[in-house]
Amino acid sequence: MEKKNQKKFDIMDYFSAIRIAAALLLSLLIVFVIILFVSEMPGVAIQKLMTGPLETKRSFFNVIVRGIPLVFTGLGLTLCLKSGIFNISSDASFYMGAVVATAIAISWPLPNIIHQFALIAAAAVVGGLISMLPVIVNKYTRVNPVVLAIMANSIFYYFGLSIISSFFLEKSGSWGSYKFPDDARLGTMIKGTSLHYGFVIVIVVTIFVIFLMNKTSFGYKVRVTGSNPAFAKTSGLRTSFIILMAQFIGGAIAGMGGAIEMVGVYKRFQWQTQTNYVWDGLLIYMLANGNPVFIPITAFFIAYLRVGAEIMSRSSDLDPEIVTFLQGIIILLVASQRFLYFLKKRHDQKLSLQQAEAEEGGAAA
Amino acid sequence: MGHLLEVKDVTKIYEGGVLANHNVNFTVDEGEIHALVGENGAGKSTLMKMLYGLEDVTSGHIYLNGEELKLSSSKEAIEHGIGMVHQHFMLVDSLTGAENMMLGLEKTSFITNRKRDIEITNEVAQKYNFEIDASRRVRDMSVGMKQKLEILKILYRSAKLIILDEPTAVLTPQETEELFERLLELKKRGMTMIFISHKLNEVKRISDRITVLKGGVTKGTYLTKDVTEEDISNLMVGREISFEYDKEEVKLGEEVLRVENLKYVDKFKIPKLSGVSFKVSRGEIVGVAGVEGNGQSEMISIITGNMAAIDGKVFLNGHDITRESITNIRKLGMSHVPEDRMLDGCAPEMSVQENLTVSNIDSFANKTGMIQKSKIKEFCKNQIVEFNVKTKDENQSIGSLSGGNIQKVIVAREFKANSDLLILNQPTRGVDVGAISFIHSKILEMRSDNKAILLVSADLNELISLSDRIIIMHKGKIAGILSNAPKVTEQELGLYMLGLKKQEGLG
Amino acid sequence: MMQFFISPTFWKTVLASTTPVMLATLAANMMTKSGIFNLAIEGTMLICALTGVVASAFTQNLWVGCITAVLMGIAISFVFGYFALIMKGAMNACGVALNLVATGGTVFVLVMLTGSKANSSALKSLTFPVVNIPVLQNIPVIGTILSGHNLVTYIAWVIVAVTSWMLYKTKLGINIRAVGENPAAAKAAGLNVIFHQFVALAICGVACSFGGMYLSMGALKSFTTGMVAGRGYMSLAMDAMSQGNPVIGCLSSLLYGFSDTITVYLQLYSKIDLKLIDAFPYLFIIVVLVIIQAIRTMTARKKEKLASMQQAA
Repeated sequence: MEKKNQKKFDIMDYFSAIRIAAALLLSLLIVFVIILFVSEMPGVAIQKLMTGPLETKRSFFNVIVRGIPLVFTGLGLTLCLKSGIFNISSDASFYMGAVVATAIAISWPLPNIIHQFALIAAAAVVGGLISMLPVIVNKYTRVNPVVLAIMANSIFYYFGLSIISSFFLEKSGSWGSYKFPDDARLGTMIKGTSLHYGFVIVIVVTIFVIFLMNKTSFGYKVRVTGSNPAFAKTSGLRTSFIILMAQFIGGAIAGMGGAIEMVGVYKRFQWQTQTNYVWDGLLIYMLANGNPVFIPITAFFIAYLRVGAEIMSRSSDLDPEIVTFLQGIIILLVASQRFLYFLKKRHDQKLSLQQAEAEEGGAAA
Repeated sequence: MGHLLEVKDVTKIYEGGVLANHNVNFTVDEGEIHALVGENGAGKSTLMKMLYGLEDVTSGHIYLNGEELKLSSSKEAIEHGIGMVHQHFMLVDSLTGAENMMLGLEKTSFITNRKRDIEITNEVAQKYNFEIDASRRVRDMSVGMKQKLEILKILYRSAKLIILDEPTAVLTPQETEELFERLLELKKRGMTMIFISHKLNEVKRISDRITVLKGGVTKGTYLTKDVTEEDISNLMVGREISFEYDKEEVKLGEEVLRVENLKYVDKFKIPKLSGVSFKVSRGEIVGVAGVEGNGQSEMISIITGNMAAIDGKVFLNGHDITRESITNIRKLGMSHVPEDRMLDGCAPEMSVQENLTVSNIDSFANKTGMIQKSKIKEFCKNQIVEFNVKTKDENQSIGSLSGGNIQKVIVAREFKANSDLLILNQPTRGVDVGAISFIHSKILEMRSDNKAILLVSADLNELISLSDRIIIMHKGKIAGILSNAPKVTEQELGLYMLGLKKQEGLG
Repeated sequence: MMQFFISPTFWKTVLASTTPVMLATLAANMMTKSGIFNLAIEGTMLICALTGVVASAFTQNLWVGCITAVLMGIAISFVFGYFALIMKGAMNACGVALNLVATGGTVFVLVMLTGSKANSSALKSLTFPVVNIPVLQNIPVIGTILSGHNLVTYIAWVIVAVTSWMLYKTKLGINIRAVGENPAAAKAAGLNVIFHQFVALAICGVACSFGGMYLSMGALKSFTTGMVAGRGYMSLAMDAMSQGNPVIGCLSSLLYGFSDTITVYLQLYSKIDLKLIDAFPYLFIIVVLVIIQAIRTMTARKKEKLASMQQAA
């Protein structure tokens, strides 16, 4: 009986993967059509967008470096969203993580390695605490956590910016903090590229999140709570605590990402605009279907598109912001439950009728 | 004479693949009150939603006055003279009675005329002898007044056929009495009504004919005067196969659960529990019988920590758990198979394996919190075999299994938690016969393992074949506690359930 | 330092900077009343701000530009409605998606048309005129505060007034509120839920378009990248304060106008760090919102408790 069941291959088991792939292709198609209409050299533009990053070693490593903060944001969001709360305060955690890292890099003279460790750890704690705020406030005021998170992103951006400009601003030259000492930076891994040791950390953190979400009892609890809170509660899980812990860890990862991006890529703090990584993170999360295993893949895919778009803009008449537009279209299609739904509906109806008939047949016999 | 309404071979499958109605057939004649009875989940509400255009029909036909009726919205149903009083009132709380009365009507002017709307509402109310305050906002109205408003809304839309979906569920006895008077008056005016209920005394009192629905299938239509409440009840809950088990002698151990004087009042201010006390000891199965809505659900919610009692205490193994969290109650030794299996019993999108292990996941983790996958896999494989769960493998999502298999997974999880007390709330509702006898044998196994078991069921047959003692609830009180050796009869239980018989001195 | 509170120009600036947020809040109110959560108000405003500028520049007709932007606002709202309501997409995600489309799309189009990534000053776009109201402008203080605003400000007041009247005094408004509050009841009463939600979305689109145009064709003379700057998001907070009521929503957005104006004055006159002052409107709004909601939640809980105690007794 069991063996017979196992043999049956059902393509609809992979429905979500098929759906996401179809959404991705359709969105790319829409953007290609737009390029065809508006560009005077659509062939070059599309070719650069899709294969540009592979043309030079430099731009290839650029993709990896650009992907690192995206992986952090994606992983952080995974924890927050998997617990069932739409907490998109990752930007606040990310930005403040970078600010805290800057502060420690400049003001605490510590030996190499310990210095990096200290500033990343501090950024993680701050990021985690910030990420808990929307959920805590929501619990006592019932204000929509989405609104709270978006407000937190703006408030902490200005707050962080003012910390930098009040305490760490170098008075001469363009706007920026004092330079980081060398023993606070992450250093390049491969000479002649911009790849820094943050890449190693990102691998470690990815493995950590995969283990946490898929292999530990805590990850189990987070997923159950997010999937059906009423069931989680009836089963005796402490849902409020689990949700809060998930926000803390998620925010901590985003905070680490901010710190690592800051001391890995930059020589000084120069961010004068809001980072807006969270929207990329959301897309990465949705493309990965919420599974941390796929987060690095989708994150580097988005980084690839971004770098490709920049190369495209250099050799054609198009602006790289078309990728932001593309991201919006992808989210719209992936989010739409009804997209390709008719396939699944037909399949499900057939199955349940078969089942009912089989059961009635069994009962009659 | 033709029928006013004819339902022919109607089948409904919901989007998730749930089969709610399967080849349902029945007819309604003009000027009658036609009762539709069945357990929860028998498919009554779905059927009515199709008649009212809120759900589409998957296959089959509905005829009104001999003409086929194809409804795509409730607007069309209203145009055909069909009106519905829903179980949960379909009123907008922040609007006034008059505004609700006029909602969705095409003949009203674009700019609202408050005064005129109130006048019209009062006129209609007077015509049918209903008392309501048309200028009051719905959220400030009493339940009885809300219901009157619902019925008036339908009458004002010149309905000829009125569907009443469990109209008395939220009413006090006085309000129920008044409602029945009004309904009989409407019948005299030539109105046809479909009355859905599982309160058999009410059905008996008010209806002309009765159609019984069970498991989404019609079990026949009867003239009310020809059948007794017991007959209908047997049709509703009775199963073709009756269960006979060889039970071991009761080895009564120490007391595990003690409930003292529980009281609860629901948000409609209706007392649901008025002083319930009983005990459950090791080695016995205590059944809880009662017509639905007599306080069983509330009692279980309070014992399991899902709801707070207004008064009274619950002790588990001597610990006072009245104010404890669910987490701690479970740690103290309680397992719970909840009534609503899709809402509280499982996470439908997650795998069988995850659903099997959620409440005891920590026992599979080592000191660092890492789950030992091989241990889980082995456990799940064993459970799937032991509980005969029909699934592709342990990674299939539980929501794609049949009801019986989902229930087996839930039962497996709760039984393997090794608790002293098992609370089973409708453990076999909507489950196929094979799964039922399987779950029953597992329950008896737990009894032999010296566990204390509290079993709530709407299926009297199940209660009689499994329980050692049966508690019968009526109107939030314990009407009787019967020893089940020798076996009590369904008729005996029925007398207590309907309030015709009562043991004294139970509080 | 605090003497600016008594200056009429201060209060006039308050009203001016309230305008775009008031329109956005009205849009959010409509969404709440019809049972939708629309994060895309921000993006809709941004797209309309650019559309108005481009259309007026190409046609050299203010009203053609205005109508084009309004139609664009309705269209974007309908796109949201299509994906969120008909395709059953998660509303949060659909909102985020449209905001990305707006951020990316406006820059892309701006570069295509002007070659500049920053602003549209290369386009000769038109602006809405400033209106001096006769008689009123001659009254001291009140005249200074209420007269001499951009036309869009007056349009905004009219839109808010008409919409509130519509919501509470007409059949359409009652239907929309019924749909938003209890869709099942509305459906049972024979109302078309999706239709009424789309009507609300259309109103939302109109309000967003004027909010956007105020920024690019009123307060400033051209479109600059990202010029909505969180006003759409802010409106969601204001909406939560007013719980969907446009009149209260209007008053709540005055709070924003007030805090925004104070920010400008503080930056001129105080020694506090400029960047920290920038955070003030957000902080002020969120603190007010949290306090109001905390009180609401507490009283609601108290009421529940009281009710259950009465029942027990």
